[in-house]
Amino acid sequence: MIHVEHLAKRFKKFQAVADVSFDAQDGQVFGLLGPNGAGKTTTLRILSTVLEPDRGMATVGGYDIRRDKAKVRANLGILVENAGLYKQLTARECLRFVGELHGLRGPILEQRIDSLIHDLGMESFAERKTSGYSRGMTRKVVMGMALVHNPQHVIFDEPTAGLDVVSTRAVRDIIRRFKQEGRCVILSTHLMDEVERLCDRVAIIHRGAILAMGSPSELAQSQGVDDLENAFVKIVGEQALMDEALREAEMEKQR
Amino acid sequence: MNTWRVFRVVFAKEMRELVRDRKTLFWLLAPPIILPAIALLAVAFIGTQTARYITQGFPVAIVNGKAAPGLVNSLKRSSALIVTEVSSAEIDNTAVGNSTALITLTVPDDFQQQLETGKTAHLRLTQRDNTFITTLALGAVRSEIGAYGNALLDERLKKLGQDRSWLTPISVDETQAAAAAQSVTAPAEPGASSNTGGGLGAIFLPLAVTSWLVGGGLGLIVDTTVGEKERQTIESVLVTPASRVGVVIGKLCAVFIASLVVMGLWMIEGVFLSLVGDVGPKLLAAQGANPVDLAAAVAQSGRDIGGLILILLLLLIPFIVVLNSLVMAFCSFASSYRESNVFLFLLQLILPALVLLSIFSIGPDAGVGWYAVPILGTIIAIRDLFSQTLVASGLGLAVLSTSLYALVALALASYVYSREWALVRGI
Repeated sequence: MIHVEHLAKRFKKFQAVADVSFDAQDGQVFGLLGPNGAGKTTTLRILSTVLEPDRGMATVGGYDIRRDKAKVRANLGILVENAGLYKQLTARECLRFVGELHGLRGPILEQRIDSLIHDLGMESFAERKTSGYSRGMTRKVVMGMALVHNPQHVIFDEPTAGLDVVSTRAVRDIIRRFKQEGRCVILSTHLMDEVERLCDRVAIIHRGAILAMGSPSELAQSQGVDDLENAFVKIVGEQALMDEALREAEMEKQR
Repeated sequence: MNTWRVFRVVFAKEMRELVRDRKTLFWLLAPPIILPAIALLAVAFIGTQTARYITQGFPVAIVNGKAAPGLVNSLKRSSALIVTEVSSAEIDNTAVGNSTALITLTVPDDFQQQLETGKTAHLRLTQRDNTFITTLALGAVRSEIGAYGNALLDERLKKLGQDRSWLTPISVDETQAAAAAQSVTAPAEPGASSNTGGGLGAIFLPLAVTSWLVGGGLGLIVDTTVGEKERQTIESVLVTPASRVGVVIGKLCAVFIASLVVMGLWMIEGVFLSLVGDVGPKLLAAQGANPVDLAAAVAQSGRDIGGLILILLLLLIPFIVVLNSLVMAFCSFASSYRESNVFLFLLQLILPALVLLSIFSIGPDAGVGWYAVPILGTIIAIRDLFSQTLVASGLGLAVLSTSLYALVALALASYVYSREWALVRGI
C-alpha cells in the first residue's frame, strides 16, 4: 500500500505540489488524473525518493520515503515518462545493469530477465543494441528496467504515451495482471479512457492539489454527467485547463 | 547494497559502453597515435633529404670567386659543400630559384683589397628558397665563412702581438643555484650530463596537462553525467537503492582508466622521440665506436626516461583524479551539455594559463610551498621535474597534497551526485 499525506513541494517560487493526500491499496490500480503541469510527475518523483518533499509524509509498503529510502526503492518500480536507454548496451544488458543495482545477481537475475523479455515481447530485439529502437521498443525495455526487481508497488507515468495500438494493449494487459497479482499500481495519465478501463479509484489533481477522489463512476455521478471526461472538465474547469499549459512552462523554468 | 558492488557494476557498464562506442574510441586514441606518426613521417622525410645533402654536400654557387681565392679554396676544402664557380652572367641568365645551388655567394671586386687594408670585407649570400634544407645549407656556408674569418682574425691579432683573449676582457661563467645533485632526476654520476629531462619536458609539460583535456577524461565525464540527463537514463539509476558514492566512483574509475590509456600513449610516443633525440646524435657521432659503449648509452638513456615516467605518473595520477572529480561535480549539477560547456570552456582556458604562469611567472626559487597549491602545484612540479630542480621534499609535498585534494574533489563529486538540487536539474 502507498499512503500519502499532505505532500507539498516548491521549486523556487513555483508551488508544484501544494497538498496531496491519498491511499493506493494493494490489488488495485489507483489513477492520478490531471492536466499537464498539475503536479502528477512531481508527486510520483517524491514517492520514488528522487525528490524530497518540503512538507507532508508518505509511505511505500510501510516504509517512510524520507527515512527508509533504500527500502522504498527496493519495493517500488517506476516507469518514468520519456526515460531513455544506454545506446551501447542491448536490452538484456540494460535490464541486467538495473537488476544488479537492485542487488540481484546470478541465476535469479537471469531468470527474471528472461521472464520479462518474454512477458513484454522483447525476444526479437533483446540481444540487439538499443540504438535505433522504436519508441515502443524503448518503452518496453524501460518498463522491464522498472520491473526487474519484481516490486510490490509499481508506478506508471504516462505508460502508453506514443505507443502503437498493439504495444498499448500489451501495457494495459500488464497493468491488469499486476492488479490480479495483488500489487499496488499507481497510474498517472491524462487519457480518460485509459483511466476508465484500468483504474479502481481515481484522484483528480489540479494545481498541485487533489480536487476529487473516487471510482470513475462515482466521480461521474457526483458531477451529474455520464462519463469521466465530462466529470473531469467540470471539476477542473475549462479555463483552468488552458491555464495549465502556462503553468507547466513556468514550472520548467523554475527548475 | 554495498558501495563496492555498486562500483563494480557501474564500472563494468561504463567500460562496456566505452569499448563499444567506436566514435568515442577513435577520438580518444587517434590523436596520440596519428599526430605523432604524422610528425615522425615529416621528420623522416626531412631527415632523408638532409642525410642526402650531408653525405654529398650542399651545392653552393660562387660569383666572382677570383676576387677571393683564399676564401674559395677554404670553401672547396669543406666536405659539407659542393662549390661551383659561376660568372655573374650565368646567374643573371638563370634565376636563382631555378638553379641547383641552394646558396649563391657573391664576392665584390674589392674583397681582397678590403682585407689587406684591415677593413671589413662584405659578402652577399642569396638563398634559393626558405625550405629547411636551404636553411641548413645557409648555416653550413656561414660556418665555413666564419671559420675562414676566424683564421684571418688570428693573423691580424698575431701581427699586433695579441691573441683572442685580448678581445674578451670579461668572461662570465653561469651555473644554476638549485643543486642538481639533490634533484630527484639528477644524473647518476657527478659531472655527467643528461639532456633527457629538458627534451622530455618540452614535449610533456604541455602534453601531460592538456592531453587530459583534448582526449582523456573531459568528454567522457560530460557523457557519463550530463549525457545521462540528456538521454534521460539517470532516473533509472536514481530510483535504485544503489549507493551514490559507488556510482560516482564507478564512473570516475572508467574515465580515469581511459585518461591513463590516452596519457600512456602520449608517453610511449614521447619516450620513443626522446630516445631518438637523446641517443641518436651519440650513435651518429660514434661511427665505428665500441658497441658496448653505445649499448650503455642507450641503456642509460632508457633508465633516465623510466625514472622520469615513474615520477610523472606519481604526479599525474592524483592530478587526473582532481580534474575528473571537479568536472564530474559540475557536470552532475549542469542541466545540459550547453551549460556544462561554459564550465569546460573556462577550464580549457585556465589549465594552459596555469602552464604559462608556471613557466614565466613563478621562479624555481619561489619556495617549496608552491608545490602544495591545488592544480598549479602539480604543474610547477612537472616543470621542475624536467628542469632537474625538483627535490624529493617538493615531489613528496606535491604528491601528498594533490592526493589530499583528489580525496576532497572525490567527496565533492559524490556529494553533488547525491543532492536533489543537482540531479533533478534538467530531468
